[in-house]
Amino acid sequence: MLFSTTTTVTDTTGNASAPVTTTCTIGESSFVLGQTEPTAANTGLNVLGLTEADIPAAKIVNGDLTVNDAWVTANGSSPTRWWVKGFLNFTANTPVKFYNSIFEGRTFTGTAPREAIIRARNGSAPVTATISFENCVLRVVQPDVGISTAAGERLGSFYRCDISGGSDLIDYWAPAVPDVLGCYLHDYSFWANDPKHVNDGSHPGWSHNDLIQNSGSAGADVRGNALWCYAAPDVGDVAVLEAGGFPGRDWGTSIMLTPSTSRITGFMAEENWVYGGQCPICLPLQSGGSFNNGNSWTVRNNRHGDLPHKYGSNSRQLIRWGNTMGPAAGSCSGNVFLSTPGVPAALRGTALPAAVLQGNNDASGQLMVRVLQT
Amino acid sequence: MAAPVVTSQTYSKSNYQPGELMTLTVNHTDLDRKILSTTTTVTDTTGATGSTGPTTCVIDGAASVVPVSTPAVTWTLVAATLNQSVFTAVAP
Repeated sequence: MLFSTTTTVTDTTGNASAPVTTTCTIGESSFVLGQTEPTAANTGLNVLGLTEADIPAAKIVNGDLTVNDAWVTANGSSPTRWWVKGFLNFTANTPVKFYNSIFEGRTFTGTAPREAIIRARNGSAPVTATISFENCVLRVVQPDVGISTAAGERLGSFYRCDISGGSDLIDYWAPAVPDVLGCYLHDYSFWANDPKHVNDGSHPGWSHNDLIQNSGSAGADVRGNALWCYAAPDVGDVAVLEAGGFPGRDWGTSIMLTPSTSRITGFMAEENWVYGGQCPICLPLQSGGSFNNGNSWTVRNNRHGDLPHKYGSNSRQLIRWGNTMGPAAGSCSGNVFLSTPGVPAALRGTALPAAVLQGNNDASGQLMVRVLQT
Repeated sequence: MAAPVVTSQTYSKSNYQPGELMTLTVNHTDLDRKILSTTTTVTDTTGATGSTGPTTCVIDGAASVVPVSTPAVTWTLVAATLNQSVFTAVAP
């Protein structure tokens, strides 16, 4: 469990210091954020060695759950060991953090009942009224093109969670500033009939899958996660993906930044383990967008365990952003290739190259960290 | 008047087990913080003198040092000097 302490000092004349926050961990000692790779075995209920049998019957919700002020009054702001077999809708006006719990949606017929297993879209609530998760399992028992695992502008943080199943896994926009720390993100669901992308120029109808999509935020730290950007096998329309040029199911983006609702500033992507996808970390120009400048990020000390799916014959684009979007080439540093089978021998253990400009030095150009490998 | 500054805050360990005693050390300074030392000397009409030993007081010391944790615990102040406060609490 992550334990944090914020301290303020006030002098005798009433002046207060800026608060300082430090963290330590309580419980398992072998997991070090940013140094220990998250897996199924050390995230979710497995952090404390729990199983589904450790969830008391009284905390198994067979159906949808609304976490509102009355629910928080009855159950507290730090609920632990819950199992929600339905869609959770967060509407409370105070922050809530779930521990050691499972959220999985439910089966349904027709249109998906909600756009996310965890829906945190209470725009009228205070900005501080967020829902967070620690040591939780977030999965989708009935995946659907219209279901993300977690979505909304009142999402809080995710720590050491096992997250899977949605068409996107975590979707958020301002004012949400969720830190995603030490999580295992994997097995999104791929669809060939996404109504949002009917007119896609390359793959009409294919879902645009992202493990984490940020559509605007001031801050947010994505740190120490294992990002497996591969479509879940035997789910949805994955056969179309496999037959359509992606036999390895390595489609989609691990961290997709799309400043559509506001700029993305001070975003951190650090010390993650990155696998699969096609351009795993991306900040593209938004067509007709209002925030195609002034964005900022730091992408550092990430470890790439394989090469992303190539563009064209050999372009493996690991990090890419629009030339005018804001970040400088030097915003990417310390990123490396792991010595794993998915990395060509000549690249194992080496640093990712510096970003280069492809195209014109205007809004049409792109900065990218890439290698050329057939 | 300057505001105080928390210069560092450290736990005694990076990891604790539930129920274990945690120690938090907070170092803090203040540009205005001073120790005022006063020595008084009295001279009588014969020229003899006597003086008090120095007495001190603190100008703009730390009135409160408040750590707040998540999950919540009760921190107990166990030691304090001019620029350092030490707390303990039980790991939840």
